[in-house]
Amino acid sequence: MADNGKQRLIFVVIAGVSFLLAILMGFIPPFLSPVALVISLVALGGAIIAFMTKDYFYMMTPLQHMKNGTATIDAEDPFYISLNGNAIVTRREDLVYATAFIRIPVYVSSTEMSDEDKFNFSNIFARIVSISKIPMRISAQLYSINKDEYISRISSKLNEAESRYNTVLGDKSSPQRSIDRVKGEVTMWHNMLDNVSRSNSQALDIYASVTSVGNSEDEAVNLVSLKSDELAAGISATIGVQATVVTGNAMLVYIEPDFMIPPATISELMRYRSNTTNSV
Amino acid sequence: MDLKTIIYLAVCTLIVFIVIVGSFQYGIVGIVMIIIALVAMFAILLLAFADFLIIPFLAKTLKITIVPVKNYIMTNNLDAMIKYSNGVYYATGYLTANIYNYVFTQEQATEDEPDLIAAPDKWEKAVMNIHFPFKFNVIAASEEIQNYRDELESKRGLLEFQYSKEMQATNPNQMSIEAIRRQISVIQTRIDKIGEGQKPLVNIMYIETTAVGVSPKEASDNLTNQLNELQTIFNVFDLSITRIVGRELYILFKMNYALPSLDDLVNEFNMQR
Repeated sequence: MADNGKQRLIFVVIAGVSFLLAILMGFIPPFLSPVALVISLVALGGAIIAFMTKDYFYMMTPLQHMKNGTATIDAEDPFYISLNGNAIVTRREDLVYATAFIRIPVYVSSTEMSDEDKFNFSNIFARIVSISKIPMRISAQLYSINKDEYISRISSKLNEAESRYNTVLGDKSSPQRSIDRVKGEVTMWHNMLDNVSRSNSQALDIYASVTSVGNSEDEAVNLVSLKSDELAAGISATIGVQATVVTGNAMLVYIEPDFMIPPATISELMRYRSNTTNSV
Repeated sequence: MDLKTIIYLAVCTLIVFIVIVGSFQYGIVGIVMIIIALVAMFAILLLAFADFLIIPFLAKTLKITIVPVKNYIMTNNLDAMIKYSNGVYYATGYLTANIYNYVFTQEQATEDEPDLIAAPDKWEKAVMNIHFPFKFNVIAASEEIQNYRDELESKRGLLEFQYSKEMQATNPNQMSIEAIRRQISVIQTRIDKIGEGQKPLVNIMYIETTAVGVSPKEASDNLTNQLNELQTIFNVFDLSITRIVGRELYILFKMNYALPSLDDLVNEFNMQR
Protein backbone atom coordinates (compact mmCIF):
# COMPACT_ATOMS: atom_id res chain seq x y z
CA MET A 1 0.00 0.00 0.00
CA ALA A 2 1.90 3.03 1.28
CA ASP A 3 5.31 1.46 0.80
CA ASN A 4 4.94 0.89 -2.96
CA GLY A 5 7.29 3.82 -3.71
CA LYS A 6 9.95 2.54 -1.30
CA GLN A 7 9.63 -0.95 -2.74
CA ARG A 8 10.17 0.34 -6.30
CA LEU A 9 13.19 2.34 -5.17
CA ILE A 10 14.75 -0.71 -3.50
CA PHE A 11 14.08 -2.76 -6.64
CA VAL A 12 15.74 -0.14 -8.85
CA VAL A 13 18.78 0.05 -6.54
CA ILE A 14 19.28 -3.74 -6.23
CA ALA A 15 18.57 -4.45 -9.90
CA GLY A 16 20.79 -1.51 -10.94
CA VAL A 17 23.75 -2.71 -8.86
CA SER A 18 23.27 -6.29 -10.14
CA PHE A 19 23.10 -5.02 -13.72
CA LEU A 20 26.34 -3.05 -13.31
CA LEU A 21 28.07 -6.03 -11.69
CA ALA A 22 26.95 -8.30 -14.55
CA ILE A 23 28.39 -5.81 -17.07
CA LEU A 24 31.60 -5.39 -15.03
CA MET A 25 32.07 -9.18 -14.92
CA GLY A 26 32.43 -9.26 -18.71
CA PHE A 27 35.49 -7.00 -18.51
CA ILE A 28 37.41 -9.17 -16.05
CA PRO A 29 40.28 -11.01 -17.80
CA PRO A 30 40.05 -14.86 -17.98
CA PHE A 31 42.98 -15.41 -15.57
CA LEU A 32 40.87 -13.73 -12.83
CA SER A 33 37.99 -16.14 -13.42
CA PRO A 34 37.40 -16.83 -9.65
CA VAL A 35 36.80 -13.08 -9.18
CA ALA A 36 34.39 -13.15 -12.11
CA LEU A 37 32.60 -16.13 -10.51
CA VAL A 38 32.14 -14.25 -7.22
CA ILE A 39 30.86 -11.14 -9.04
CA SER A 40 28.43 -13.20 -11.12
CA LEU A 41 27.14 -14.89 -7.95
CA VAL A 42 26.50 -11.49 -6.36
CA ALA A 43 24.81 -10.21 -9.55
CA LEU A 44 22.58 -13.31 -9.82
CA GLY A 45 21.73 -13.22 -6.10
CA GLY A 46 20.87 -9.54 -6.54
CA ALA A 47 18.58 -10.39 -9.48
CA ILE A 48 16.69 -12.94 -7.36
CA ILE A 49 16.40 -10.55 -4.41
CA ALA A 50 15.33 -7.71 -6.72
CA PHE A 51 12.56 -9.91 -8.12
CA MET A 52 11.51 -10.95 -4.61
CA THR A 53 10.94 -7.29 -3.66
CA LYS A 54 7.92 -7.31 -5.98
CA ASP A 55 5.82 -9.49 -3.66
CA TYR A 56 7.90 -9.96 -0.53
CA PHE A 57 9.22 -6.49 0.21
CA TYR A 58 7.43 -6.47 3.58
CA MET A 59 9.45 -9.58 4.58
CA MET A 60 12.91 -8.14 3.81
CA THR A 61 13.48 -6.23 7.07
CA PRO A 62 11.90 -8.90 9.35
CA LEU A 63 14.12 -11.57 7.75
CA GLN A 64 17.24 -9.43 8.31
CA HIS A 65 16.38 -9.03 12.00
CA MET A 66 15.22 -12.61 12.50
CA LYS A 67 15.87 -14.07 15.98
CA ASN A 68 15.70 -17.81 16.81
CA GLY A 69 14.00 -18.54 13.49
CA THR A 70 11.22 -16.00 14.14
CA ALA A 71 10.69 -13.13 11.71
CA THR A 72 8.44 -10.46 13.21
CA ILE A 73 6.67 -8.29 10.67
CA ASP A 74 4.79 -6.28 13.27
CA ALA A 75 4.97 -6.65 17.05
CA GLU A 76 2.09 -4.25 17.72
CA ASP A 77 -1.60 -4.99 18.16
CA PRO A 78 -3.20 -5.22 14.71
CA PHE A 79 -5.88 -2.62 15.50
CA TYR A 80 -7.67 -0.68 18.18
CA ILE A 81 -11.20 0.63 18.46
CA SER A 82 -11.52 4.34 17.72
CA LEU A 83 -12.43 6.73 20.55
CA ASN A 84 -15.98 7.22 19.25
CA GLY A 85 -16.33 3.43 18.92
CA ASN A 86 -17.54 3.61 15.31
CA ALA A 87 -14.53 2.01 13.62
CA ILE A 88 -11.36 0.02 14.11
CA VAL A 89 -8.12 1.81 13.45
CA THR A 90 -4.86 0.41 12.12
CA ARG A 91 -1.62 2.20 11.23
CA ARG A 92 0.65 1.34 8.29
CA GLU A 93 3.70 3.41 7.57
CA ASP A 94 2.58 7.03 8.05
CA LEU A 95 -1.05 6.47 7.18
CA VAL A 96 -4.03 5.63 9.37
CA TYR A 97 -6.76 3.29 8.13
CA ALA A 98 -10.20 3.24 9.74
CA THR A 99 -12.65 0.44 8.99
CA ALA A 100 -16.35 0.51 9.82
CA PHE A 101 -18.85 -2.33 9.84
CA ILE A 102 -22.50 -2.14 8.80
CA ARG A 103 -24.86 -4.92 9.88
CA ILE A 104 -27.47 -5.90 7.28
CA PRO A 105 -30.32 -7.71 9.05
CA VAL A 106 -31.81 -10.19 6.58
CA TYR A 107 -34.40 -12.39 8.26
CA VAL A 108 -36.15 -13.77 5.21
CA SER A 109 -35.61 -17.41 4.25
CA SER A 110 -35.68 -18.86 0.74
CA THR A 111 -38.32 -21.36 1.90
CA GLU A 112 -40.75 -18.43 2.23
CA MET A 113 -39.95 -17.03 -1.23
CA SER A 114 -41.59 -17.57 -4.58
CA ASP A 115 -39.35 -18.02 -7.64
CA GLU A 116 -39.86 -14.36 -8.50
CA ASP A 117 -38.86 -13.31 -4.96
CA LYS A 118 -35.72 -15.47 -5.20
CA PHE A 119 -34.82 -13.93 -8.55
CA ASN A 120 -35.34 -10.41 -7.18
CA PHE A 121 -33.38 -11.22 -4.01
CA SER A 122 -30.38 -12.41 -6.03
CA ASN A 123 -30.55 -9.29 -8.17
CA ILE A 124 -30.76 -7.07 -5.08
CA PHE A 125 -27.65 -8.74 -3.71
CA ALA A 126 -25.84 -8.05 -7.01
CA ARG A 127 -26.93 -4.41 -6.74
CA ILE A 128 -25.62 -4.09 -3.16
CA VAL A 129 -22.25 -5.41 -4.25
CA SER A 130 -21.98 -2.71 -6.93
CA ILE A 131 -23.22 0.12 -4.73
CA SER A 132 -19.79 1.51 -3.81
CA LYS A 133 -17.04 3.03 -5.92
CA ILE A 134 -14.43 2.36 -3.25
CA PRO A 135 -13.81 -1.27 -2.27
CA MET A 136 -16.50 -2.57 0.06
CA ARG A 137 -16.63 -6.03 1.58
CA ILE A 138 -19.91 -7.88 1.98
CA SER A 139 -19.54 -10.80 4.34
CA ALA A 140 -21.85 -13.54 5.52
CA GLN A 141 -20.50 -14.89 8.78
CA LEU A 142 -21.64 -17.96 10.67
CA TYR A 143 -20.37 -17.76 14.23
CA SER A 144 -20.90 -19.36 17.61
CA ILE A 145 -23.17 -17.44 19.95
CA ASN A 146 -21.48 -16.38 23.18
CA LYS A 147 -23.33 -18.29 25.87
CA ASP A 148 -20.89 -17.41 28.67
CA GLU A 149 -23.30 -15.17 30.52
CA TYR A 150 -26.23 -17.56 30.10
CA ILE A 151 -24.15 -20.51 31.27
CA SER A 152 -22.83 -18.65 34.32
CA ARG A 153 -26.42 -17.67 35.23
CA ILE A 154 -27.51 -21.31 35.08
CA SER A 155 -24.41 -22.38 37.04
CA SER A 156 -25.17 -19.94 39.85
CA LYS A 157 -28.80 -21.14 39.92
CA LEU A 158 -27.49 -24.71 40.12
CA ASN A 159 -25.14 -23.78 42.98
CA GLU A 160 -27.97 -22.09 44.83
CA ALA A 161 -30.23 -25.12 44.37
CA GLU A 162 -27.46 -27.52 45.48
CA SER A 163 -26.77 -25.48 48.59
CA ARG A 164 -30.52 -25.45 49.41
CA TYR A 165 -30.61 -29.20 48.86
CA ASN A 166 -27.74 -29.69 51.31
CA THR A 167 -29.52 -27.47 53.83
CA VAL A 168 -32.82 -29.36 53.62
CA LEU A 169 -30.99 -32.70 53.77
CA GLY A 170 -29.18 -31.58 56.93
CA ASP A 171 -32.44 -30.40 58.52
CA LYS A 172 -34.09 -33.51 60.07
CA SER A 173 -37.44 -31.71 60.34
CA SER A 174 -37.70 -31.06 56.57
CA PRO A 175 -40.63 -32.93 55.01
CA GLN A 176 -39.80 -35.44 52.25
CA ARG A 177 -41.91 -33.41 49.82
CA SER A 178 -39.66 -30.32 50.05
CA ILE A 179 -36.51 -32.50 49.80
CA ASP A 180 -37.91 -34.02 46.58
CA ARG A 181 -38.85 -30.60 45.25
CA VAL A 182 -35.34 -29.17 45.82
CA LYS A 183 -33.78 -32.37 44.42
CA GLY A 184 -35.96 -31.97 41.31
CA GLU A 185 -34.81 -28.38 40.97
CA VAL A 186 -31.14 -29.46 41.15
CA THR A 187 -31.76 -32.08 38.45
CA MET A 188 -33.52 -29.49 36.27
CA TRP A 189 -30.61 -27.00 36.43
CA HIS A 190 -28.15 -29.86 35.85
CA ASN A 191 -30.00 -30.96 32.72
CA MET A 192 -30.32 -27.40 31.49
CA LEU A 193 -26.59 -26.78 31.92
CA ASP A 194 -25.78 -30.02 30.09
CA ASN A 195 -28.12 -29.18 27.22
CA VAL A 196 -26.93 -25.62 26.82
CA SER A 197 -23.27 -26.54 26.67
CA ARG A 198 -23.92 -29.59 24.47
CA SER A 199 -26.08 -27.91 21.80
CA ASN A 200 -24.44 -26.04 18.96
CA SER A 201 -25.76 -22.47 18.90
CA GLN A 202 -24.77 -20.49 15.85
CA ALA A 203 -25.89 -17.24 14.26
CA LEU A 204 -25.54 -15.95 10.71
CA ASP A 205 -24.80 -12.25 10.26
CA ILE A 206 -24.52 -10.37 7.01
CA TYR A 207 -22.47 -7.21 7.16
CA ALA A 208 -20.58 -4.78 4.99
CA SER A 209 -17.27 -3.17 5.82
CA VAL A 210 -15.52 -0.21 4.31
CA THR A 211 -12.16 1.48 4.90
CA SER A 212 -11.02 5.08 4.70
CA VAL A 213 -7.49 6.33 4.89
CA GLY A 214 -6.21 9.52 6.45
CA ASN A 215 -3.13 11.20 7.81
CA SER A 216 -4.53 11.16 11.34
CA GLU A 217 -6.94 9.00 13.28
CA ASP A 218 -9.56 11.77 13.38
CA GLU A 219 -9.43 12.25 9.63
CA ALA A 220 -9.67 8.53 8.84
CA VAL A 221 -12.46 7.91 11.38
CA ASN A 222 -14.50 10.90 10.22
CA LEU A 223 -14.15 9.86 6.58
CA VAL A 224 -15.16 6.27 7.28
CA SER A 225 -18.10 7.42 9.42
CA LEU A 226 -19.40 9.49 6.52
CA LYS A 227 -18.85 6.64 4.09
CA SER A 228 -20.46 4.02 6.33
CA ASP A 229 -23.53 6.20 6.97
CA GLU A 230 -23.85 6.72 3.22
CA LEU A 231 -23.50 2.99 2.54
CA ALA A 232 -25.95 2.06 5.32
CA ALA A 233 -28.51 4.41 3.78
CA GLY A 234 -27.86 2.99 0.30
CA ILE A 235 -28.15 -0.61 1.47
CA SER A 236 -31.30 0.15 3.50
CA ALA A 237 -32.95 1.77 0.48
CA THR A 238 -31.93 -1.07 -1.86
CA ILE A 239 -32.79 -4.08 0.24
CA GLY A 240 -35.56 -2.57 2.38
CA VAL A 241 -34.11 -3.35 5.81
CA GLN A 242 -32.57 -1.09 8.45
CA ALA A 243 -28.80 -1.45 7.99
CA THR A 244 -26.95 -0.06 11.03
CA VAL A 245 -23.34 0.83 11.76
CA VAL A 246 -21.88 -1.58 14.31
CA THR A 247 -20.16 0.09 17.25
CA GLY A 248 -17.81 -0.78 20.11
CA ASN A 249 -17.02 -4.35 21.11
CA ALA A 250 -19.79 -5.70 18.87
CA MET A 251 -17.34 -5.24 15.97
CA LEU A 252 -14.93 -7.75 17.49
CA VAL A 253 -17.07 -10.74 16.54
CA TYR A 254 -16.36 -9.84 12.90
CA ILE A 255 -12.61 -9.54 13.40
CA GLU A 256 -11.22 -11.61 16.24
CA PRO A 257 -11.31 -15.42 16.12
CA ASP A 258 -11.75 -15.69 19.90
CA PHE A 259 -14.93 -13.60 19.62
CA MET A 260 -16.10 -15.60 16.62
CA ILE A 261 -15.69 -18.76 18.73
CA PRO A 262 -16.19 -17.68 22.36
CA PRO A 263 -14.44 -19.88 24.99
CA ALA A 264 -17.77 -21.28 26.28
CA THR A 265 -18.55 -22.79 22.86
CA ILE A 266 -15.17 -24.42 22.20
CA SER A 267 -16.18 -27.73 23.76
CA GLU A 268 -19.15 -27.90 21.34
CA LEU A 269 -16.88 -27.44 18.34
CA MET A 270 -14.37 -29.98 19.63
CA ARG A 271 -17.16 -32.46 20.29
CA TYR A 272 -18.50 -31.90 16.77
CA ARG A 273 -15.00 -32.35 15.37
CA SER A 274 -14.37 -35.60 17.29
CA ASN A 275 -17.81 -36.94 16.25
CA THR A 276 -17.13 -36.26 12.58
CA THR A 277 -13.63 -37.75 12.88
CA ASN A 278 -15.02 -40.88 14.59
CA SER A 279 -17.73 -41.25 11.97
CA VAL A 280 -15.06 -41.20 9.25
CA MET B 1 0.45 -11.72 -16.16
CA ASP B 2 0.34 -8.09 -15.04
CA LEU B 3 2.55 -5.32 -16.35
CA LYS B 4 4.55 -5.05 -13.12
CA THR B 5 5.51 -8.74 -13.22
CA ILE B 6 6.48 -8.45 -16.90
CA ILE B 7 8.78 -5.48 -16.18
CA TYR B 8 10.39 -7.11 -13.13
CA LEU B 9 10.83 -10.38 -14.99
CA ALA B 10 12.36 -8.63 -18.02
CA VAL B 11 14.89 -6.70 -15.90
CA CYS B 12 15.98 -9.77 -13.92
CA THR B 13 16.14 -11.95 -17.04
CA LEU B 14 18.37 -9.33 -18.67
CA ILE B 15 20.82 -9.52 -15.73
CA VAL B 16 20.93 -13.34 -15.99
CA PHE B 17 21.39 -13.08 -19.77
CA ILE B 18 24.32 -10.65 -19.39
CA VAL B 19 25.98 -13.02 -16.88
CA ILE B 20 25.56 -15.95 -19.29
CA VAL B 21 26.99 -13.99 -22.25
CA GLY B 22 29.96 -12.80 -20.14
CA SER B 23 30.67 -16.33 -18.88
CA PHE B 24 31.79 -17.79 -22.23
CA GLN B 25 35.37 -16.47 -21.90
CA TYR B 26 36.08 -18.28 -18.60
CA GLY B 27 36.33 -21.95 -19.71
CA ILE B 28 35.37 -24.45 -16.97
CA VAL B 29 34.59 -21.67 -14.48
CA GLY B 30 32.37 -20.14 -17.20
CA ILE B 31 30.39 -23.40 -17.48
CA VAL B 32 29.85 -23.36 -13.71
CA MET B 33 28.72 -19.74 -13.98
CA ILE B 34 26.25 -20.61 -16.77
CA ILE B 35 24.81 -23.47 -14.69
CA ILE B 36 24.41 -21.14 -11.69
CA ALA B 37 22.82 -18.49 -13.94
CA LEU B 38 20.31 -21.05 -15.25
CA VAL B 39 19.49 -22.11 -11.68
CA ALA B 40 18.98 -18.42 -10.79
CA MET B 41 16.68 -18.01 -13.81
CA PHE B 42 14.72 -21.07 -12.73
CA ALA B 43 14.39 -19.60 -9.21
CA ILE B 44 13.12 -16.29 -10.65
CA LEU B 45 10.56 -18.11 -12.81
CA LEU B 46 9.45 -20.13 -9.78
CA LEU B 47 9.02 -16.92 -7.80
CA ALA B 48 7.03 -15.40 -10.66
CA PHE B 49 4.69 -18.31 -11.33
CA ALA B 50 4.80 -20.66 -8.34
CA ASP B 51 5.77 -18.62 -5.29
CA PHE B 52 2.94 -20.35 -3.43
CA LEU B 53 5.04 -23.54 -3.68
CA ILE B 54 8.58 -22.28 -3.19
CA ILE B 55 8.09 -19.78 -0.33
CA PRO B 56 6.18 -22.16 1.99
CA PHE B 57 8.74 -24.86 1.12
CA LEU B 58 11.61 -22.55 2.11
CA ALA B 59 9.84 -21.42 5.30
CA LYS B 60 9.22 -25.03 6.28
CA THR B 61 12.73 -26.23 5.41
CA LEU B 62 14.45 -23.34 7.19
CA LYS B 63 11.92 -23.56 10.07
CA ILE B 64 11.07 -19.89 9.88
CA THR B 65 8.14 -18.74 11.99
CA ILE B 66 6.53 -15.50 10.88
CA VAL B 67 4.80 -13.19 13.34
CA PRO B 68 2.49 -10.99 11.23
CA VAL B 69 1.13 -9.01 14.21
CA LYS B 70 1.10 -9.32 17.99
CA ASN B 71 -0.43 -12.60 19.27
CA TYR B 72 -0.47 -14.24 15.84
CA ILE B 73 1.92 -16.58 14.06
CA MET B 74 1.88 -18.01 10.56
CA THR B 75 2.40 -21.77 10.41
CA ASN B 76 5.63 -23.03 8.79
CA ASN B 77 3.57 -24.16 5.79
CA LEU B 78 2.27 -20.58 5.51
CA ASP B 79 -1.26 -21.92 5.20
CA ALA B 80 -2.82 -20.67 8.46
CA MET B 81 -2.74 -17.81 10.93
CA ILE B 82 -2.66 -19.00 14.51
CA LYS B 83 -3.72 -17.00 17.54
CA TYR B 84 -3.23 -18.13 21.13
CA SER B 85 -5.95 -16.89 23.44
CA ASN B 86 -7.80 -18.17 26.51
CA GLY B 87 -5.57 -21.25 26.68
CA VAL B 88 -6.46 -22.51 23.19
CA TYR B 89 -5.15 -22.01 19.68
CA TYR B 90 -7.31 -20.51 16.94
CA ALA B 91 -6.21 -21.35 13.39
CA THR B 92 -7.64 -19.26 10.56
CA GLY B 93 -7.35 -20.23 6.90
CA TYR B 94 -8.72 -19.07 3.58
CA LEU B 95 -10.10 -20.49 0.34
CA THR B 96 -10.47 -18.64 -2.93
CA ALA B 97 -14.01 -18.68 -4.27
CA ASN B 98 -13.54 -17.37 -7.78
CA ILE B 99 -16.37 -17.18 -10.23
CA TYR B 100 -14.43 -15.33 -12.90
CA ASN B 101 -13.53 -18.40 -14.85
CA TYR B 102 -17.07 -19.00 -15.97
CA VAL B 103 -18.75 -15.61 -15.67
CA PHE B 104 -16.18 -13.31 -17.18
CA THR B 105 -15.17 -15.67 -19.97
CA GLN B 106 -18.65 -16.26 -21.28
CA GLU B 107 -18.95 -15.86 -25.01
CA GLN B 108 -22.63 -14.99 -24.93
CA ALA B 109 -24.69 -12.94 -22.51
CA THR B 110 -26.96 -15.84 -21.57
CA GLU B 111 -30.17 -15.50 -19.60
CA ASP B 112 -29.14 -16.67 -16.14
CA GLU B 113 -32.55 -16.54 -14.45
CA PRO B 114 -32.60 -20.21 -13.33
CA ASP B 115 -29.23 -19.75 -11.64
CA LEU B 116 -30.41 -16.64 -9.83
CA ILE B 117 -33.58 -18.40 -8.66
CA ALA B 118 -31.59 -21.38 -7.39
CA ALA B 119 -28.95 -19.28 -5.62
CA PRO B 120 -30.84 -18.49 -2.34
CA ASP B 121 -31.81 -22.18 -1.92
CA LYS B 122 -28.26 -23.35 -2.59
CA TRP B 123 -26.91 -20.83 -0.09
CA GLU B 124 -29.31 -21.86 2.67
CA LYS B 125 -28.61 -25.56 2.12
CA ALA B 126 -24.89 -24.89 2.25
CA VAL B 127 -25.12 -22.90 5.49
CA MET B 128 -27.35 -25.56 7.11
CA ASN B 129 -24.68 -28.16 6.46
CA ILE B 130 -21.89 -26.16 8.08
CA HIS B 131 -21.46 -26.66 11.82
CA PHE B 132 -18.47 -24.44 12.45
CA PRO B 133 -17.79 -20.70 12.06
CA PHE B 134 -16.93 -19.39 8.63
CA LYS B 135 -17.17 -16.22 6.57
CA PHE B 136 -17.99 -15.82 2.89
CA ASN B 137 -16.48 -12.53 1.73
CA VAL B 138 -17.01 -10.52 -1.43
CA ILE B 139 -14.85 -7.43 -1.86
CA ALA B 140 -16.11 -5.31 -4.70
CA ALA B 141 -15.90 -1.84 -6.13
CA SER B 142 -17.63 -0.59 -9.22
CA GLU B 143 -15.37 0.78 -11.92
CA GLU B 144 -15.86 3.94 -13.93
CA ILE B 145 -18.16 2.71 -16.72
CA GLN B 146 -16.88 4.94 -19.52
CA ASN B 147 -13.19 4.17 -18.84
CA TYR B 148 -13.90 0.46 -18.66
CA ARG B 149 -15.92 0.58 -21.88
CA ASP B 150 -13.15 2.53 -23.65
CA GLU B 151 -10.61 -0.01 -22.43
CA LEU B 152 -12.72 -2.89 -23.75
CA GLU B 153 -13.34 -1.22 -27.08
CA SER B 154 -9.65 -0.55 -27.65
CA LYS B 155 -8.88 -4.19 -26.79
CA ARG B 156 -11.58 -5.32 -29.22
CA GLY B 157 -10.14 -3.04 -31.92
CA LEU B 158 -6.69 -4.54 -31.46
CA LEU B 159 -8.04 -8.09 -31.58
CA GLU B 160 -10.10 -7.33 -34.71
CA PHE B 161 -6.96 -6.02 -36.38
CA GLN B 162 -5.10 -9.25 -35.42
CA TYR B 163 -8.07 -11.28 -36.70
CA SER B 164 -8.10 -9.59 -40.10
CA LYS B 165 -4.31 -9.90 -40.35
CA GLU B 166 -4.52 -13.61 -39.57
CA MET B 167 -7.33 -14.09 -42.10
CA GLN B 168 -5.28 -12.41 -44.84
CA ALA B 169 -2.21 -14.58 -44.18
CA THR B 170 -1.19 -16.97 -46.93
CA ASN B 171 -1.47 -19.96 -44.57
CA PRO B 172 -4.03 -18.90 -41.95
CA ASN B 173 -3.75 -20.80 -38.68
CA GLN B 174 -7.26 -22.01 -37.85
CA MET B 175 -6.47 -22.46 -34.15
CA SER B 176 -5.25 -18.92 -33.63
CA ILE B 177 -8.16 -17.54 -35.69
CA GLU B 178 -10.56 -19.42 -33.43
CA ALA B 179 -8.74 -18.19 -30.30
CA ILE B 180 -8.91 -14.55 -31.45
CA ARG B 181 -12.55 -14.91 -32.46
CA ARG B 182 -13.34 -16.27 -29.01
CA GLN B 183 -11.53 -13.40 -27.27
CA ILE B 184 -13.49 -10.90 -29.37
CA SER B 185 -16.76 -12.63 -28.36
CA VAL B 186 -15.81 -12.49 -24.68
CA ILE B 187 -15.06 -8.76 -24.90
CA GLN B 188 -18.23 -8.13 -26.89
CA THR B 189 -20.24 -9.94 -24.18
CA ARG B 190 -18.76 -7.65 -21.56
CA ILE B 191 -19.63 -4.57 -23.64
CA ASP B 192 -23.18 -5.93 -24.10
CA LYS B 193 -23.55 -6.48 -20.35
CA ILE B 194 -22.58 -2.86 -19.70
CA GLY B 195 -25.14 -1.82 -22.35
CA GLU B 196 -27.79 -3.80 -20.42
CA GLY B 197 -27.12 -1.63 -17.35
CA GLN B 198 -24.72 -3.89 -15.43
CA LYS B 199 -21.88 -2.12 -13.67
CA PRO B 200 -18.34 -3.34 -14.26
CA LEU B 201 -16.93 -4.59 -10.98
CA VAL B 202 -13.52 -5.25 -9.58
CA ASN B 203 -14.11 -8.02 -7.13
CA ILE B 204 -12.57 -10.85 -5.21
CA MET B 205 -14.36 -13.58 -3.32
CA TYR B 206 -12.93 -15.73 -0.59
CA ILE B 207 -14.01 -17.97 2.25
CA GLU B 208 -12.48 -17.81 5.71
CA THR B 209 -12.85 -20.25 8.58
CA THR B 210 -11.41 -20.64 12.05
CA ALA B 211 -10.75 -23.84 13.95
CA VAL B 212 -9.70 -24.38 17.56
CA GLY B 213 -7.29 -26.83 19.15
CA VAL B 214 -5.31 -27.34 22.32
CA SER B 215 -2.07 -27.16 20.32
CA PRO B 216 -1.10 -25.31 17.11
CA LYS B 217 -0.90 -28.68 15.32
CA GLU B 218 -4.39 -29.73 16.41
CA ALA B 219 -5.85 -26.34 15.46
CA SER B 220 -4.12 -26.56 12.08
CA ASP B 221 -5.38 -30.09 11.44
CA ASN B 222 -8.93 -29.11 12.41
CA LEU B 223 -8.65 -26.12 10.10
CA THR B 224 -7.64 -28.37 7.20
CA ASN B 225 -10.68 -30.58 7.87
CA GLN B 226 -12.99 -27.56 7.99
CA LEU B 227 -11.55 -26.14 4.77
CA ASN B 228 -12.04 -29.50 3.05
CA GLU B 229 -15.65 -29.60 4.22
CA LEU B 230 -16.25 -26.07 2.97
CA GLN B 231 -14.69 -26.98 -0.35
CA THR B 232 -17.10 -29.89 -0.72
CA ILE B 233 -20.16 -27.91 0.38
CA PHE B 234 -19.47 -24.86 -1.80
CA ASN B 235 -18.83 -26.98 -4.88
CA VAL B 236 -22.56 -26.69 -5.66
CA PHE B 237 -21.94 -23.05 -6.56
CA ASP B 238 -19.56 -24.04 -9.33
CA LEU B 239 -16.77 -21.96 -7.83
CA SER B 240 -13.08 -22.41 -8.39
CA ILE B 241 -12.02 -23.18 -4.81
CA THR B 242 -8.38 -23.46 -3.76
CA ARG B 243 -6.66 -23.18 -0.39
CA ILE B 244 -4.67 -19.96 -0.05
CA VAL B 245 -1.07 -20.24 1.09
CA GLY B 246 1.91 -17.90 1.37
CA ARG B 247 1.78 -14.26 0.32
CA GLU B 248 -1.97 -14.09 -0.35
CA LEU B 249 -2.71 -15.51 3.11
CA TYR B 250 -0.96 -12.50 4.65
CA ILE B 251 -2.74 -10.08 2.31
CA LEU B 252 -6.16 -11.50 3.15
CA PHE B 253 -5.33 -11.52 6.85
CA LYS B 254 -4.45 -7.80 6.68
CA MET B 255 -7.78 -7.18 4.95
CA ASN B 256 -9.53 -8.10 8.21
CA TYR B 257 -8.32 -4.77 9.55
CA ALA B 258 -8.23 -2.53 6.47
CA LEU B 259 -9.48 -3.03 2.93
CA PRO B 260 -7.15 -2.21 0.05
CA SER B 261 -7.62 0.72 -2.30
CA LEU B 262 -9.10 0.08 -5.74
CA ASP B 263 -5.62 0.19 -7.33
CA ASP B 264 -4.20 -2.29 -4.83
CA LEU B 265 -7.20 -4.55 -5.35
CA VAL B 266 -6.59 -4.53 -9.10
CA ASN B 267 -2.82 -5.03 -8.70
CA GLU B 268 -2.95 -7.80 -6.11
CA PHE B 269 -5.82 -9.76 -7.62
CA ASN B 270 -5.69 -8.83 -11.28
CA MET B 271 -6.28 -12.46 -12.26
CA GLN B 272 -9.80 -12.22 -10.90
CA ARG B 273 -10.91 -9.38 -13.16
